[in-house]
Amino acid sequence: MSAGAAPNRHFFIAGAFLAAWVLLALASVHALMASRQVAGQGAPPFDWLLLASELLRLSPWVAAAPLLFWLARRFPISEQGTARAIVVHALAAVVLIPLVTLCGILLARTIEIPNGFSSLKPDRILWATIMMSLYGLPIYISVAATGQANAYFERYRIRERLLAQAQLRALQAQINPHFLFNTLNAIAALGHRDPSRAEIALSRLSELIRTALADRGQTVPLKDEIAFVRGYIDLYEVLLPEKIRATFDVDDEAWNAAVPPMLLQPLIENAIVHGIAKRAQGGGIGLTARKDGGRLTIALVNDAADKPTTPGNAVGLANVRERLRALYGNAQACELTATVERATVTLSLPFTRVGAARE
Amino acid sequence: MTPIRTVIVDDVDLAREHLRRMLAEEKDLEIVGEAADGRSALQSIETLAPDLVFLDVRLPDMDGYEIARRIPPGKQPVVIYVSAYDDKVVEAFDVDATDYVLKPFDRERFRRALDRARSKIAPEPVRRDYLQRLMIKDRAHTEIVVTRDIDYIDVAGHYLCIHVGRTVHLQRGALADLERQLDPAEFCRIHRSSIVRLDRVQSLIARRNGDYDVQLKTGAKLLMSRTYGEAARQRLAATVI
Repeated sequence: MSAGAAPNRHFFIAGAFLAAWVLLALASVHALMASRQVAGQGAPPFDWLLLASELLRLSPWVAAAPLLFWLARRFPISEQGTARAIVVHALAAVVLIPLVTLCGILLARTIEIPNGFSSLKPDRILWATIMMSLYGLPIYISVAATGQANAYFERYRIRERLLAQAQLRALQAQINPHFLFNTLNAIAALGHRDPSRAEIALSRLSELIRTALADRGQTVPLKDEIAFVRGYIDLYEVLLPEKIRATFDVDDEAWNAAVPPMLLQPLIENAIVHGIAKRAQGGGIGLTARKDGGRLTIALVNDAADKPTTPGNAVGLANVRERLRALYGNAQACELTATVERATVTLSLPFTRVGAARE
Repeated sequence: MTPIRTVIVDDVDLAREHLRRMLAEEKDLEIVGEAADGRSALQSIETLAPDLVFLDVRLPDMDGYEIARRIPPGKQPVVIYVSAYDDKVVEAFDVDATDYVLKPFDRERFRRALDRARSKIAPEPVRRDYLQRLMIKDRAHTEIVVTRDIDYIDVAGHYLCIHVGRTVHLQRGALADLERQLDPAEFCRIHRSSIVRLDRVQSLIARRNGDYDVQLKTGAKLLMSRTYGEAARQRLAATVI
């Protein structure tokens, strides 16, 4: 995913490189003229030809910069693959520095100045390239480092944007408006028939909304998600009695594992709306969570509908998938398998423990 | 037995009516006064000297805590706060709240608050008939959990989570209520939000801040806080022998 989003920043970077190129050439000219002055007499006039020669000599670096930037983006020094990135950059340095230096020398030779590269004998060019390559190393490192910083910044921005989007979607997913209005409608009806059940339903609903509205941070313990899901099922049960039987099978490590808030809710909603609610005799939902190795695996199994259902249940699943991708990149999986009897959603994400229980 | 004299304070008529209706079913309670603002609330608390006050946190002229602070020390009734806002819960316990009930609430939650108030007004004698089995009702299905099979109990959201091996039963309720019904020779409260079965404890590991990690034989690791730590460690030592 590349950032076509910031053309302003690309112009800025290009400008900075041109400025660095000119400054470097000027500094080099200044140094060369100073060394002449020690031997000579008085301040000589500014040597424009020398500047042109130096600009030409350094110009291949400007041409090579986009390539180095591309390398930095392709092989970022980050949590994963640092060693590989360093090897790639070292190999690139060995090839690129002499090549760029040689090009610079050949270009500089086109300008005739005393003691310039033009006076170099052709058989000395190789030797000059090797010597000048030593000066190329710091330039290479600066450009590569800038490229790394830029790549880091880009990743950071993409991540930020995805997170913001994911949060927004999560908010929208938290309480499905359909569910909310259906519940309120059912409660209004219950109010006439069975006031105390209506009361229970209202207080359950308000608990769910309170939790959904709370800012609970990037991750919450799995147990809080399970309690939320239990509350959701309980509310459903008040409205559709004797339909759902839920079981929770969670190992002790997984119980406190960190998961994004509202991870399970869309899945439970799918399981109920597209599965159990459509079964005359009701059905079961089973949630299993395990820590195995460095991963957390959550499986949600539900009895499938008696009759074929609309394929509408892809929406909730897509939402979960997108949020997981935004948070964990490729280190996650979310799979749905469905048979005639039951549907299973399996999530796999990196295991992290929520810090000591909140006091 | 004399009834528990109760005062209701809320500025919304319907909210007072709701409380009145819920209280009407409690035979041991008598509503002696009502108030719709802070000033008249203070007045009726001082003149009527009730045992129990239901106090709305947001009132037109002052907040519920202000009222609690202004009651002279000797005349402090048991106070249950009732509010739609959950941002002031912590403050409530500074003024020695017995409970804080969020609106809207149902009968179950209301009863729990009342039970707390009752046990504060007239403490029950220590019970001997501890629970041997928990009935965990999931609609038509009732699961029976023998207390000896429980590893530990903790809290998530509004639920008590009863851990039996890897199976977790979630049941609504308050940990303190369950704690009272469990045999203290078998179970021990180690944290605001957890109770452990004593014979499941493998080891205690001290943490730097005075808390302990409690390692269970099942592999679970729980936190034991300083507040419960002293009493809990003695109980653990007693059962090890």
